[in-house]
Amino acid sequence: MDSELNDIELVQRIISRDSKALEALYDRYSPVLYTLVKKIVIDNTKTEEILADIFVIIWQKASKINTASNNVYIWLINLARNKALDFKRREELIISSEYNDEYEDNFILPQLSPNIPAKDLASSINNREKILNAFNGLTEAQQYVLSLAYFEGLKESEIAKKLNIPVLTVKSKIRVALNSLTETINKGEAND
Amino acid sequence: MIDDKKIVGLLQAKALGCLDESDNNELQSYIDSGYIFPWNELGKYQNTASLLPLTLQTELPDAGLKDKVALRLIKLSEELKAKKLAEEQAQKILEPQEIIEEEIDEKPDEFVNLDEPFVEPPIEIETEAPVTESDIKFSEPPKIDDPVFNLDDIVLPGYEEENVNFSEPAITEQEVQPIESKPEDFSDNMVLENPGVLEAPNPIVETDDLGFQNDVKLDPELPAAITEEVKLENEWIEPVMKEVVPDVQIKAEEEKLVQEVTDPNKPDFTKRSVAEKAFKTLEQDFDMLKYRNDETEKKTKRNLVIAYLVIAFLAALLVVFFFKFNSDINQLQKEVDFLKARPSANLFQQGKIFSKLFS
Repeated sequence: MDSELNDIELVQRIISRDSKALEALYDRYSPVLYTLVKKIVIDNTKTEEILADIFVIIWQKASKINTASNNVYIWLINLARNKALDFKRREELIISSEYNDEYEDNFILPQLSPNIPAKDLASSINNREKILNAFNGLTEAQQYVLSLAYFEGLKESEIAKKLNIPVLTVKSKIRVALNSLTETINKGEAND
Repeated sequence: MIDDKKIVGLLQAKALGCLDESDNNELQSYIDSGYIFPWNELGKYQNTASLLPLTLQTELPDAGLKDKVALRLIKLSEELKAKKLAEEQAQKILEPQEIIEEEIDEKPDEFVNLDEPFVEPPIEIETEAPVTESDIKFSEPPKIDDPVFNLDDIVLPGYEEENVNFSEPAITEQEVQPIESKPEDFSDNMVLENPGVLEAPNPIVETDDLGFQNDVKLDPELPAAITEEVKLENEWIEPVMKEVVPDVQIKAEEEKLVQEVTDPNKPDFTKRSVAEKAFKTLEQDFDMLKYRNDETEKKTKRNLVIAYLVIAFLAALLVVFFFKFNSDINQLQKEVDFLKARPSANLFQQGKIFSKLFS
């Protein structure tokens, strides 16, 4: 498979049942998805199981990706996060509803904004240094709250309970942290 | 009325997926109520949130995981195949019963909904017009003892132009009389006055200018019995020909139609064919994956065997060298002991001392 094909082209080939395209997508995305899933579920074996599930979903439901908006990267990241958090919540018996096709469509497949800016893996990795700097520029409290929300999958009220602080404080921290992160990253990209 | 500022304040949490249930419901009702929703803002935050995994130290998955994924996909395809087969079998069992109950002009359920979920891979087939209920006509009611609903009984719109009339009565064995049976009747009914004279009639063959034979006429001078025989022959051949030829023509037309319907060059619009094509594609993909997996396994096994052989060889070499060196050391030790035991050994040592003194 031509590794020069972009994400959209790969997805289009996957939709037309080209298994080599799926292999190429795996080669491209498995490190970042594996890292994300492992951060959420910790266990190595479970991480591998979830990653396999994710690629099965991609194979079956690649047609749900909005190829027009060129955000395969964001779709895959959100898919991996949703799947890993769902797995974790089911293990912790927080979720008990049946996992079926309808559930997958509603809760595992990413629900993205139709006006989401384009983003691909290559450009994101190129900007990794800037992203790290922007993240490190946040206060420790902001970083921790973001981490709890994104990687632990905790809701605002759950974070408040865990940290024993008011919900409003959590809301405020999340708002400020994400605004700051967005501004810094966008500024860096604009300078390029 | 929901405050717009509050909605904007919820977007960050929504993008991070940490919005509380109540806030999420509020946001959803805002979207549903038709207010202008800041999708751009939400998209921007979702974009930023998706970059958070890049702040982690990248880890690589195990190399074998790719094969596991491939195997999962193969299993999945096999499950789908099995499911499809089971569905088809269930349909085959159910369909004849349903058709008996339904009236002839009722459309079969099979063609009502072409967007069934199992036609998962979108295969594009160019069709002139969609098959609608009115386009589907049945030629004749299916027989009660027919165990399988025959798709060939349906005339698709594209084939109506051929003017093949399916409503013609079907040819039954009783109607088509074998030609061989007629002479028996003929011989039963015929009275021959002089069987000894019964020889082949000598027909007068008229030829046209080009030498082609025209109608055969009987010689008026032939005996009456022979003339009668020829007349009788004409009498039974003609009706039989009249009876058989149209039937044969119908049969030929039917065969022609079957050939046209089964002609691979003509596009097949049936749902079954679309599903078959889809699964064929899927099957090919997974066969390829399976083949690759088998190849990898074979390669690994071969390499393992080679590795075992090399290890065994090295171990054997080690043992041989161990014994060889051991025997060499023992032999040398014996030589040393022997030399030490010789009386000249002391002189040699003294000589060394002397040589040191004189040097």
